[in-house]
Amino acid sequence: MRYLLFISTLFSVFATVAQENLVLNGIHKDSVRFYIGFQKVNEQFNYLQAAQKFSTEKAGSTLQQVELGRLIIPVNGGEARISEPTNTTFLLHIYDLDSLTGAPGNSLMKEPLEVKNRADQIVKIDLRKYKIRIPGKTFFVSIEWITNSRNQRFMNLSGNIELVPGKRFRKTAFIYQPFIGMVKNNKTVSDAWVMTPERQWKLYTHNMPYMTDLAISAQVSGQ
Amino acid sequence: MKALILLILSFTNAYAQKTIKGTVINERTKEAVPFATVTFLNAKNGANADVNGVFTLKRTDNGAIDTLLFAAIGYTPLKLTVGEVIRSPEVFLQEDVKTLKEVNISDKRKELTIGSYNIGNHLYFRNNGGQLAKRFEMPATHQYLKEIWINRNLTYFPFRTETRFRIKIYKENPKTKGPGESICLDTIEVHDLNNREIKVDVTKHNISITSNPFFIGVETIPIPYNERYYIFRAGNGGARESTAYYEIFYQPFVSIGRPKDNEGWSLPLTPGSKWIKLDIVPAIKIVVN
Repeated sequence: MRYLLFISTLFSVFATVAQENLVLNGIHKDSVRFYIGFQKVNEQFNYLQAAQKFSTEKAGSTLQQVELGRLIIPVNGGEARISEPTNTTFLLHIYDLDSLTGAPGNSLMKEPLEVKNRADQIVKIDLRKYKIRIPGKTFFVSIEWITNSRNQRFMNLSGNIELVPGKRFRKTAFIYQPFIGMVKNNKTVSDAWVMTPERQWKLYTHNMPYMTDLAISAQVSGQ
Repeated sequence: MKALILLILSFTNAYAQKTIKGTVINERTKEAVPFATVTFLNAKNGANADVNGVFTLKRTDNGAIDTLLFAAIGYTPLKLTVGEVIRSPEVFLQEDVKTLKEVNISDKRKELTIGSYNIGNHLYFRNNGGQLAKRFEMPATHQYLKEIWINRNLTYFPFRTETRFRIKIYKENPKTKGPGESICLDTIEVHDLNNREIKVDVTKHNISITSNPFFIGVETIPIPYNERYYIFRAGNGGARESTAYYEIFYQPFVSIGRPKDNEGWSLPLTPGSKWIKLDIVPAIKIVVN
């Protein structure tokens, strides 16, 4: 009888924990196959930050953990089996909703969190010790690129004409780690935002309708 | 004697009234239409014309007020009253252009494959987007495009293979001798998961090639679905100390070979770019009808 009581109590505790913790925009390494942060012929990517919008059912939840999908090219994915250095440092911001513009508003952290990662396709960031409380039902998780020499990589922009003798077209551009994934969810609007060099937020729709969200998931409690 | 002649004449007249004879003729070429079907619409009976388009029908009792339907494959059906046919025994049928095309395309005996892949060793196209085109000549005996075959490289790199792309068909630009005006205005979109050889049946687009030479283009769509990432080292034969570059490629990676004359052309993704002659040719072949 005592065992039964113990097991039922255990189940009810698990059930409470499961109810409280909610994963928003859940990602998996095999589901993230498209990445941003590259200079392309049809896109000049010069944004300072990229933020994902999250909505919860109840206000006042606490942010527990954030996961981020980033590009790690397999060693044999290169021409000369290159093991390209993938270690990177970036800044993590949590923002409240700007109710006037619908864009990220006030920061919910005293200062941005510096995150270091070596080679994980899914970067897990534990935020429990920071006790970040979401005042409303909407919040944003943002990644800020640190444009230093450690993160700097080179991009080759070719225009299809490199095989013409004497007309080899090649343009080099700087790009910065980490290259963040994007996913497609079953909706018609984008919830990805980017900050322009003028520090203005704008909705990121360049990859619509193919990609709707950044590969950033958030686990919240108190739902 | 007079009575006998009168009797014969009356029999002949009676026979003439009981049969309807005429010829089915192509209105445009004025040639006979062989084996047309002629049917009494009310009586539901009829006959076929012979190889010279000549038909002979027996009239029923109330045949004078019946209607005849003339039908032949490749022609628009025509309805005429019996009276009209008796007055004018030459029946002109109009060609049905749409039906004619379908008939030609389904005629397997006339199919012909043009071009070969001619793929070199480990050659593939490092596809940065844009279009790749190959020049073809339509034989004088053929007119319609039936199938387009494209060969692509799947094994050289561990990239995912699924792709969506478009096929374009162009006339020759007389100035550049490269691709010019578009022939087919339909969007021919292809979705392929993992085939090395992609067969595209274009029968439903009824593509008639009337000018030679013409070009088949593979248009890469620079969308996330096709995007793949790649790193290479430039200079010093890929030595470790040389700089690593990221590059974006787009599926499909079409196989390439060495061209004859001006066979291979490319239209870069860069806005405002023009067709450029290549020293490679994409692995495309076609089946015509």
